[in-house]
Amino acid sequence: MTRTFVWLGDRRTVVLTFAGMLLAGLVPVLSHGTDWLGSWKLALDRGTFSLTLVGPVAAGVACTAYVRLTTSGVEPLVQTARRPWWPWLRPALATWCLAAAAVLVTTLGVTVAAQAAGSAPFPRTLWVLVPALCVLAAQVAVGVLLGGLGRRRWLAPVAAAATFGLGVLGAVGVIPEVFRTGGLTGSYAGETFDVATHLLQAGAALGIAAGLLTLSDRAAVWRSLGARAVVLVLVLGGGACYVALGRGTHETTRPLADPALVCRGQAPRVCLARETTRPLDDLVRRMEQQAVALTEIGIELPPRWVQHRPGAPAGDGDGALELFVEEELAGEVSDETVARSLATPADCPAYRGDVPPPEASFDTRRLLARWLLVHAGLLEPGADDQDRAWLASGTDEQRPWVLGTYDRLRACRLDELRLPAGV
Amino acid sequence: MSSRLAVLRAWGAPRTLLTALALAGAVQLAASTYVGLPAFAAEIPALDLAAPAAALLLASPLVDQTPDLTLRAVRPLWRVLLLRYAVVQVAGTLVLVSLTLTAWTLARALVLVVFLAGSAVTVAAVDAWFWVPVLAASYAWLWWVQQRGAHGSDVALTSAVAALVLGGLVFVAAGTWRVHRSRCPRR
Repeated sequence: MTRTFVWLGDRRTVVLTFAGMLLAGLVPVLSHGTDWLGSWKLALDRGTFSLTLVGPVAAGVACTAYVRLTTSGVEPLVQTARRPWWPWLRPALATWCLAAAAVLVTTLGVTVAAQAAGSAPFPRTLWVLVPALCVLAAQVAVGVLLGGLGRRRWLAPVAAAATFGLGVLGAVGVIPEVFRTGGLTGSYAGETFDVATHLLQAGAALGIAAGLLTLSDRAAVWRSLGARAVVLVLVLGGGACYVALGRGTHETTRPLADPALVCRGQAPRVCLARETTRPLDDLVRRMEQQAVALTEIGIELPPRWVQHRPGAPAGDGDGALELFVEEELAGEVSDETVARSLATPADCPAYRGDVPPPEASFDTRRLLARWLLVHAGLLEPGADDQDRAWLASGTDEQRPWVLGTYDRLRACRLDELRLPAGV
Repeated sequence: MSSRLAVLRAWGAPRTLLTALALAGAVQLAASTYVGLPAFAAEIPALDLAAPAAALLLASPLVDQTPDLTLRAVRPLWRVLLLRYAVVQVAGTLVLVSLTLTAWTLARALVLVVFLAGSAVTVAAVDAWFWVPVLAASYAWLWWVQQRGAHGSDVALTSAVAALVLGGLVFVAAGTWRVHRSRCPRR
């Protein structure tokens, strides 16, 4: 270990550098709070997202190590080695190992925490760490190039800022998003990581790393035939991946063909995507509480309510659960969300079509949701509310409208929806 | 005169001023650009990146590039350190002026002074590794600004002056103490 990390400093410096990388990586991971506790895949995503700062820090550390190497006077000795690329690249490898350990420890921490919080694990998606570590190699190579050629200690923050800047340039579309890892603003419900996009990213990152490391000291890296062949393959392959990544749209996630559901409760039966089951128990409890009003007036509930998942077609006769992303990830949902879901007994195509559904459908579902909340004792209509009088009227008066409206909502006859007289 | 120029070059002052000019130019070019960073719910103005960039790129004169010479300095050390801090803040002023020439108010641009003062405090704590905490703090700040909105990140003139003075005091005191410890090590 001592020989590998010698250019990074003494043992204390290496430990402090690792701690610095770990702490820096936690800043982007925790910037959203701990919402990732609600989805194991999101926790994995956030683990790789730690590269947003671990990468720039690694670039700065590599830059410092190479300034130390090039100004120490041992560079001519490096050139006399049988395989000069090995002593030249060893500080880069040491930096990469240290940063990779920080990313892996962070990822392990957040995924274990998510699992402990009740999120179902998806260990088969761990492969997404491989392209992330390829991106880390490219980030380290930026620092190696600046330190190896610039040979000034003050270049370390420049290397860090440049590496962070590459991520920004990718985010604004100036370059393909090679340097972005993780950071999805969703919950991964019914979704997984896209293999093709991550393969292209890994290829492009390795190509950039090989190119930059060669440029950092051509005499050392470009000498042997074997090393030249490896560099050429990586750079040409990486170039092709880079061009492919820059053309068209490459999503980092894709909808699952057959997303698994976890269902609980009987009347109503509630189903959430296996990725986001954290709020399921609370959801079932609140839906049972509010659904009493519907069953009491003789309404037959849909066989189940199912969470909407991107790309998944709505099941015939299923009610639609419309949760906000933060609710999918939290342990509890709001009563308003539950009422809104109970007032959506069918996932009508018009809700997601290009043409919005009739305005009356919004008003009637809203009134139905308020009626459910009032009946469950969770809402007291305000003095200025237009629907106050109707909500305060008896069940006998309300029943015909509720029955008719629910029938029309289940059959998706949205054009026939009307508000009750006087509302 | 030439010896003064040599000292300024040793501190990296010309390089820092050139970097500040480049940054000031970049501010004008990116004045109306918005950046959508991963995991950020909304796009942020590219100008929000100016203060963190300045804190990372303009603070190098604060790090002692010639510690052996500093130990032998004949002038009062606090004056040397104060001058280095002044060089950094003057370079920062170029970027600050550029920011105020955009749609940014002076109150919003003054965050740059706070960032540079923060860099000075960090140099006092961890010397050449100042950029690691500054990088982490910059990301946290960008996140905070996005949450608070444009007006939430305004800095009062008195706060900016207080940060300027405090940053300088901490930097000079820590630097003086460090050199004193090197000259007169404990037995």
